[in-house]
Amino acid sequence: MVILPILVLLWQIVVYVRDLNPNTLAATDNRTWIVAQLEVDRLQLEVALMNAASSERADFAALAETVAIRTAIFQSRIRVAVTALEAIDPNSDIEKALAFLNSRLVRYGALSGVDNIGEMNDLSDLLVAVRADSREIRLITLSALNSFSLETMERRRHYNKSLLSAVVLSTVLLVIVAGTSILLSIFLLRLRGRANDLNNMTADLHMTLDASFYGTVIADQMGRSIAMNDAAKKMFDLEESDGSEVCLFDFVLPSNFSDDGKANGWSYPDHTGILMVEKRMSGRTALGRKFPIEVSATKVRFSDGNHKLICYLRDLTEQENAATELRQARDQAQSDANAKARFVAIASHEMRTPMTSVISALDVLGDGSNTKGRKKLLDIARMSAGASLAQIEELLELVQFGSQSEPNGLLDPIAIVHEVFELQQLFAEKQRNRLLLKTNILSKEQPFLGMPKTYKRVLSNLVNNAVKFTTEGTIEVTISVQESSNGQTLLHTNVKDNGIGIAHGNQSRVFDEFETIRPVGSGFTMVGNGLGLSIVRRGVEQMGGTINLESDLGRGSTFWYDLELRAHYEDKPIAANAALLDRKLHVLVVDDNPASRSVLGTALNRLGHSFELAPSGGIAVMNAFANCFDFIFMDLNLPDIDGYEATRQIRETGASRRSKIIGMTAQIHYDYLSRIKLAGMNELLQKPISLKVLSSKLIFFEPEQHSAANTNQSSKDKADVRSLLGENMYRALLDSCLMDCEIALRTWPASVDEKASEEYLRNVHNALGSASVLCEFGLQTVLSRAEGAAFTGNVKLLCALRGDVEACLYLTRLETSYEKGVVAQL
Amino acid sequence: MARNMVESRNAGALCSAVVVMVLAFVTAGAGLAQEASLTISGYIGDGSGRVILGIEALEQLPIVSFTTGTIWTTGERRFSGPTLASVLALVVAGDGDLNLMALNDYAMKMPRGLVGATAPIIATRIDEEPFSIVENGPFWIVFPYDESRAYRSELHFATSVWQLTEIAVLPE
Repeated sequence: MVILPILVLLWQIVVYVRDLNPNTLAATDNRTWIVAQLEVDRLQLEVALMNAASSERADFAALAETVAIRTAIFQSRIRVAVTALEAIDPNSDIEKALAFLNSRLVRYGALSGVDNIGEMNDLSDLLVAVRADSREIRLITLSALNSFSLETMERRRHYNKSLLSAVVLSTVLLVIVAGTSILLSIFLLRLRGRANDLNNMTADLHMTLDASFYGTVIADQMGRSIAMNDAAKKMFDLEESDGSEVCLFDFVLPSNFSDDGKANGWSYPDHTGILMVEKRMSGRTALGRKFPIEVSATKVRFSDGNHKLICYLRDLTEQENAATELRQARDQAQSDANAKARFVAIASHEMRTPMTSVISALDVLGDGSNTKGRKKLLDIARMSAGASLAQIEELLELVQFGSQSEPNGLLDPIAIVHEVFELQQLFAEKQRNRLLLKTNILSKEQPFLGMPKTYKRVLSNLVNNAVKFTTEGTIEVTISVQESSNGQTLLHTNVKDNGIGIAHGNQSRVFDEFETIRPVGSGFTMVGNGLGLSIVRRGVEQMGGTINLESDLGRGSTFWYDLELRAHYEDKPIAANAALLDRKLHVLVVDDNPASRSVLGTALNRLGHSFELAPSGGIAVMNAFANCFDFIFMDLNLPDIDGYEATRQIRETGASRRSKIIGMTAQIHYDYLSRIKLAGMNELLQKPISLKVLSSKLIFFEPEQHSAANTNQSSKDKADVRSLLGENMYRALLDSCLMDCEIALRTWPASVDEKASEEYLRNVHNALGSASVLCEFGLQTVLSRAEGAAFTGNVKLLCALRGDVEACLYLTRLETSYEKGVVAQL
Repeated sequence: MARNMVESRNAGALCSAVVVMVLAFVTAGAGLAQEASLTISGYIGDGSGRVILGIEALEQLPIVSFTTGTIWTTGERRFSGPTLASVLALVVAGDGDLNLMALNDYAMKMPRGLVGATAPIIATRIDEEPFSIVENGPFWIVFPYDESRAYRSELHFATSVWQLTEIAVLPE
């Protein structure tokens, strides 16, 4: 498109340049000269003729020849002139001239024949003719000359125009060429720039890929790599090679790749789909080392139309190692936790069991003897054992970090102080300390609302500590009620001793767990477990106060705290206690003695609860079946069916199967405890039940959801175990325990004649152990009695106990299945 | 004839010139057409003589022919004759320019540079026939105009003398 006009222009220029050839002008000039010579030659002819005409005869021949020559010359001139004129563009003048000249040619030709020259007359004729032509020749000459000059002018103009055109065209051509070359150079520059950009982009892309920590491989459809970034090369130990022409399938294997080289599990790319292989595969380096690799591969069509695989690879070795480590750590932690739970569970029972045994033993001792002094000592022993047990429980609580707040109840600080003093009496006597109580509370005042158990524990620990660290001194406990500045009632509790005191530097430490301070150089041998004061602090904080300490080394210590008491109520009848309770309880009293019934009924009335009376077990069962009672006070001795049986029946089914059943008896025997549990009673109280006891039992009532046959103590234990072990493990252990009991039952002596076999002993011992761990107190008690009987050879007792074991098993199973039922219902 | 005058001279070294002169003399008595002769004068031979050559003498030399059109003739004609160079060599002319004279007293100076090996020729025949005065004869200096643009300059046209009578070799 650009070339064609250029060619045209060039051709035009060539033409013009050719036109400029001066040769064409040369011809015109010559013709002009020739035509101009016409007149000259005519004149010369005329002169020759005149000479000849006027000459003498003698010279005539010579002159005649001259004339002939001149005529010939003239003729030749005419001829050439005709030729010249014919070259001009014909117009009327030219044509006239040509006609005239041609006619003259003919005439002169005729006239100038050699033969004709000889006569004089011919010469004069010729002369006349020649003279006559003078004017015409002149005109022709002028006209021709005019034409020639016009033609020349025209030619010159044409020449100028050509020159101008040539110049313009040349300029245009130059401009076009210049413009084109500029455009071309710009275009080339841009191309080069673009090529550069492309190179840069490619270099950047390579850099990006190389900078990636992930391996990137671009492969063709056959899996042969085209490009590989540094990370990929490193991954496959191919750092030396350029990473091309490597068959990908040799290095990235599906996870079921077998070493005999058969590759399974690669889905080969087809022409339409996107290839997506397993995410986690097995990689193999060029040196044969295997490692886990994550692959994500995509098939794309590149701009050259071919399909290529783009694979992103990630070495998962670190991840997998980390995951494995984590898993191991978790498993370890899990097993540690399990071990700890198991240990705590077992330990707690190893710790508790002796204590409970001690308490039980003391109970027995207490029953047997009536000596007031001994009884008092036994009471003290029992209370101290109980306190010890409480301490163990506190330890467990602390260890589990699950301290539940005690619900609010009636708090009688003075009574508690008395109890604590009784507890510490022995110890104080040993240390030769005096215990004093100071208070501004009149004994007639109503108790406060607080946490009695916690309060007692705190006070007990404080007093114990004070006694421990004082010899021959006085421990003074002050309980006072004070009004605070903003109208609140404060209960101030103060324990002061004049013992060895605590150094200022240690005072912040004493409340920390497991901190014991061994006084220097005092010959002090008493060392505690370091928990006492931390329990105190915990307890005080639970009650909403802050423990304070003032002490100087060698001058004793004072511990004190204040409690804000929410409801300080004045001297009101006990019925006011009922206001504390959220609920009005519905109670059933079962006793064949009408007096007992009415007394209990009146007490309940005073406490603001509703009640029903039943004189016998049967009626009680029917009533409990139909109505839902919160409490059932069941006398153990009933006319038709006894309290145990009635309880059992109530527990089986009916509206009150979940009620709290408290047994009543005049005299509590040791084996009652196991029996009431077997029956399904929650508790056993000794008659007569005071109002205080009654109200306290009712106050601490919380509707329970399951009616397992256990005491408060046991249920707490069991709850501890369950939370420690976790539900699944607890159930598993329970199942195995029940299994152990079954096994033991199988080998149980059936009659008095049989003896207890070795195998039986072993089985019973196993079952006992399992039951102990799980706090199945009922089973545990029975089994331990059985073991004892087996050892002592008391086969009769053994046979009797079999029934108890079966009953226990039955109850436990019932309890677990009931729980399952409850859960299902929920 | 008034104009034709023969002067014979002794030119010992110029044997061919003598032969030609004899030949020219032989043809001197011919009629008008046969009396056509060309005079070479000026610096020729020893520089003082004249040579008269007739058609026959000229046609003894190597004849060069070419066909060309001219601005004085219509169509193309075949001109034949000896080259001017060969004629000048024949008479041992000097290297100076030439003065060409024609019947009607026309005279033109031809630069020696125009004389080439093959052109111009002194045409003695047109289309193989001798040509008369009316036909611009008997001798005509002709260039092969159609062969090259170089032959179509003013100088060439001006020195294409017809009715040639004399060539005078000028001093260098």
